[in-house]
Formats: sequence, C-alpha cells, structure tokens
Amino acid sequence: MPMTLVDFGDDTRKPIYARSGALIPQVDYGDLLNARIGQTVEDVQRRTDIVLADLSKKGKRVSVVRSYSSCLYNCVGMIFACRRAWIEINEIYHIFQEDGFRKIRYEELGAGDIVVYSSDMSPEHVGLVTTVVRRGGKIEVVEVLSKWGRDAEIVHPLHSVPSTLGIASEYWSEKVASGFA
Amino acid sequence: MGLHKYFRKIDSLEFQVQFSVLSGFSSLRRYFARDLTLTELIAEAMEDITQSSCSINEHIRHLLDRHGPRMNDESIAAYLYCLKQIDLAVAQEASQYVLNKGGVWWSVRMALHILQYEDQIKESISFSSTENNKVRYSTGNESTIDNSSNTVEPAKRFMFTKKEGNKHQIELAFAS
Repeated sequence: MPMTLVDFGDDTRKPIYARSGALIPQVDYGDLLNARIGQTVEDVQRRTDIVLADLSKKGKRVSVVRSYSSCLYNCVGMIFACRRAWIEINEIYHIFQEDGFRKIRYEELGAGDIVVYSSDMSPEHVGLVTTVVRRGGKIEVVEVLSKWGRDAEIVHPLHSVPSTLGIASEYWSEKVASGFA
Repeated sequence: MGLHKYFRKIDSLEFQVQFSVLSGFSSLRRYFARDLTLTELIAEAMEDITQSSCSINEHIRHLLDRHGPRMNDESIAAYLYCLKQIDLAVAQEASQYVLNKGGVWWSVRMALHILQYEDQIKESISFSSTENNKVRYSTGNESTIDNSSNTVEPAKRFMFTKKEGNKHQIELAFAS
C-alpha cells in the first residue's frame, strides 16, 4: 500500500519564521497541489540504494541510513523546519542571517553546527554536524546528518556525499561560548 | 535509432538519482544544462526540430501512461527541460499533460516553470508597428525582428506565421 504524503488538499503548509521574525520562504505549492502525487518508502529506498552503490564505487561510504521517509522535505527543511517543509537551498544564507548564524572555521566545528556544500560557488546542500572527534587538538572525524534531496536521510562522513551535492566549503554556527572566564 | 539511445540513458535510475538528491530547482536546471546526455540530445534534436520534439513529447506520454509518474520523475523533468530548449510550444503542451497526469516533484516543478515562463514571454511581446506587410515585434529584451528580412537577434529565434488580415500567430522558440 503506497504511503502517501501529507494531504495537501487545503495547503497544509504552515508559515516558518526565523528568529528575527522574518518569514522563511517555502516552495509556493500553488498549482503543485493538484498535480502532485506522493512517493513511497520503496521509491526512496530504491533510489538511495543506487546512490550509495555509486558512492561505494568511488571509495566513499556512509555510516547509516537514518530514514527512508517518503515525506517531502529537503536538507534545509530537515534542519530549519524539523522535517516539515521543502525550503530551497538558495534561501540558506537568508536563514543564516535571520537566525543569527556566523561563519566559523573548520577547526571550530562542533556537534550541532551546519556544513554548507557548494559547487561552482553555488550552495547545493546543507548538513547538520553530529559528531566531531579530535585527537591532539586536530579534527580527525566529522560525521554529518543530512537529507539528500527527496531521497533518504543519511549519517555520513563529512566528504561522503554524491558529487552533485558539491564539496564541504563553509561551516556555520549559532552557538554561544560560555560567558564564564 | 534517432533519439532512442538518449532515451535509454535518461530513463535509467542511474540518470535519475544524480538529480533526486538535489535540494533546489535552480540547482536542477544548472545540472541539466551541464549534463552531457541532455546536451547531446538537444544538439541532435535541433537537426530536425519538428520530428524530435514530437518524439520526445510522445516518449513523455509513454512514460506516464505506461509506468506512472512515480517511476520517472527526474527523467520527465529532463525531457521537459530539453523540449523547452528545442520547441517551447511543444514543451508547453507536454507540461500541461504532465500536470494533468500528475507528477511527484521535479517533473511538476519543471512543467510549471515552463508554463509560467511562456506566460512571461507572451506578456513581454508587444507590437510596435505594422506597415506594408512588415511587422516589427519587440520583446522585453529589446530584440526586434523584421518580417521581410527575417533577421533576428542572435540570442533568440522566433517563428511566426502571417494569417489573414493583420492578425499574426506568434510561436516562440528560444535558442537557450
């Protein structure tokens, strides 16, 4: 029995606001509502298996597929809308600004921070850092949780992403350091 | 074999998964523009626009009628993208068919993009003058063509047919 997505009969999109109060644009469903049909978990798994097999051939592995959810949210929606929305990737810098994020260096990376993947200077993907392992003060391992388009949600090493998603190029954080000396 | 060698590649899951991982419609269009298979298909299709656009349109319908929208979402989006480069009128027709049949995500977004794009272009066209069977058209981008000499701006190519009286049917095809 195919699993259907949220019933969009009356456009169930709810507004999403940044910390500043700015509205975060979602895809304007409009005419999409009457034209869309859902994808199934099997669809997502079938595609994800191919992507992972292709990555494996290139020597890149992932840690675990967290979810084959057929709900339609993307990498930005996973992080900034709790998996409730598809937010176009080119909105990411607007969100960073309105949510009080700042760019950090790779060396400052920690769990909860955001990785931006880019290709030809254009953002293609974002991921949430879940694990950073340091040895002797140097980062040895970074693991990221991210949603690969309309495919699965995957925990993966920092650089283990499909080539169309680009390379890890920027790191952003809204964390606040301790106020105590 | 014609375009069928491209159809086999584009219909494959391996082709589709390159784009199903993307998170933005502008990204999808950017990668379509760079994809070698699509570039070659478009180049070959331009050698016989009428036949090729018909062939691609029929293939879209075949995919939707036989396999349903779920199985070929990115492929259909790619074919619509190609049609937009080859023959905007046919792309519009195919887009409407996709919307009527239903699509999952990228095919629907591409269809809407094409239909809205076509509407934007029609709005920007205005008749500036008509004299002695010569008709000047100007677009929002200030390109003009002269009916008698059929010269066009390099960036755009128009096809139009003169009908009875002063009414002209405008068909638009854009080179890119």
